Amino acid sequence: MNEIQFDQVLEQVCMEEYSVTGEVPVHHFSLRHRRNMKRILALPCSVSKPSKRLKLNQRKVLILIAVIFLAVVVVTGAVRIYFYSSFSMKEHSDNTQLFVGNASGVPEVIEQVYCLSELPEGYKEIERVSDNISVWTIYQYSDDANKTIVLTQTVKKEFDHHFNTEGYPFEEVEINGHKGLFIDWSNDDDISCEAVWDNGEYIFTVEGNLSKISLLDLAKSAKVE
Amino acid sequence: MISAALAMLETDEQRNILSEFYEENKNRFYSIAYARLHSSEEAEDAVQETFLRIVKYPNRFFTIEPHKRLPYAVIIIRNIVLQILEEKGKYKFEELPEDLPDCKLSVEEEAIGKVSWEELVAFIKTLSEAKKQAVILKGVYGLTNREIAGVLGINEAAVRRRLSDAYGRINDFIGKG
Repeated sequence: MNEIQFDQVLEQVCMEEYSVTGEVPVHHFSLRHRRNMKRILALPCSVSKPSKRLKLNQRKVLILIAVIFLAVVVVTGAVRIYFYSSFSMKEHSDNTQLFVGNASGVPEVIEQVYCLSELPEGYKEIERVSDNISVWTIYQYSDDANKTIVLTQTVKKEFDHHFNTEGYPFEEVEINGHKGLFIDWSNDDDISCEAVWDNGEYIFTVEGNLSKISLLDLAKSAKVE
Repeated sequence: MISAALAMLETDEQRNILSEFYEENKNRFYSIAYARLHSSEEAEDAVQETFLRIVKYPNRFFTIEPHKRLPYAVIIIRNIVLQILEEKGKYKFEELPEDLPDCKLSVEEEAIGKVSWEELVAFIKTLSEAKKQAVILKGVYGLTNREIAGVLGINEAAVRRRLSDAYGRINDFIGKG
């Protein structure tokens, strides 16, 4: 027996031990799971990254800023950083990262929970996932798991989202007097768009299978519960 | 909420392949996880974590022959299930000594004529799940130790120990054969 044959032995073990076959029951996956999988599989650029808190003194901050500036200069064309309202926007080749540069004087934990007060007909809240820094509220049309609206509310300090902007531009919008951004990923087969805005205390996103006008009207209906 | 670092899939084609793979096998993955965890939420989390680990090394996944992708994902989800069980105190991974010497596989010199194919297959199946996973990810899928560490959610040193121990046992078996 040589190494090639040994690899074939391993392959046989692999196929016999791990190549599962046969019918399995159909599981109705939760909306939380479906949404997370959608982000992983279809819109991988929109996945939030874990935030890391760095303890920096003033000197380190200055050095860090200088290093970042130099890095940006060096890689000009690969990554661009620009600003809109309170958002800092880092543009990568196929996605744009949004975060908030200055988050002082605003809640560091969720103090008031917002909801969408004027849902389109047939939609109802079906799930809420929350922790100290964010709240995800999920609404669904009847029993159609493919028609959902998701409202997220995040404290400014922790907001860090990647949006798929490969071929999809951001559009400036205004929501209840606050500046925001709108992006439309719709195509011939699917309607999908998202708005993000800063209401002065928290960062909100609302995403759904709706037209631009409907989604923005919905965003405007966000109110404290 | 997803909190793991995520490498980005590079092309729409890759996204489509992975989406189709998920749709075809999601119930199977869920069943595997639920069979041990008996919790719908944890089983769904295990499925989700499996795909997060797959997309850590997307190019590795997409270069795997299609018929070997399912076993690859099953290895990952079984490992995740064991890790969830370990966190709950319901499973314990074997602790291998940190000073375990490096051991390489030496099948060519020692195996000829000593053990049959079937005996070797049967013996490898008796290795602990953790060692078997490491050996197969290395030998069948050609992953580096770092990649194995990434998909199994352990550190490289633990991968090295698992491989060394497994190779040592296989060498012993072949030698005794």
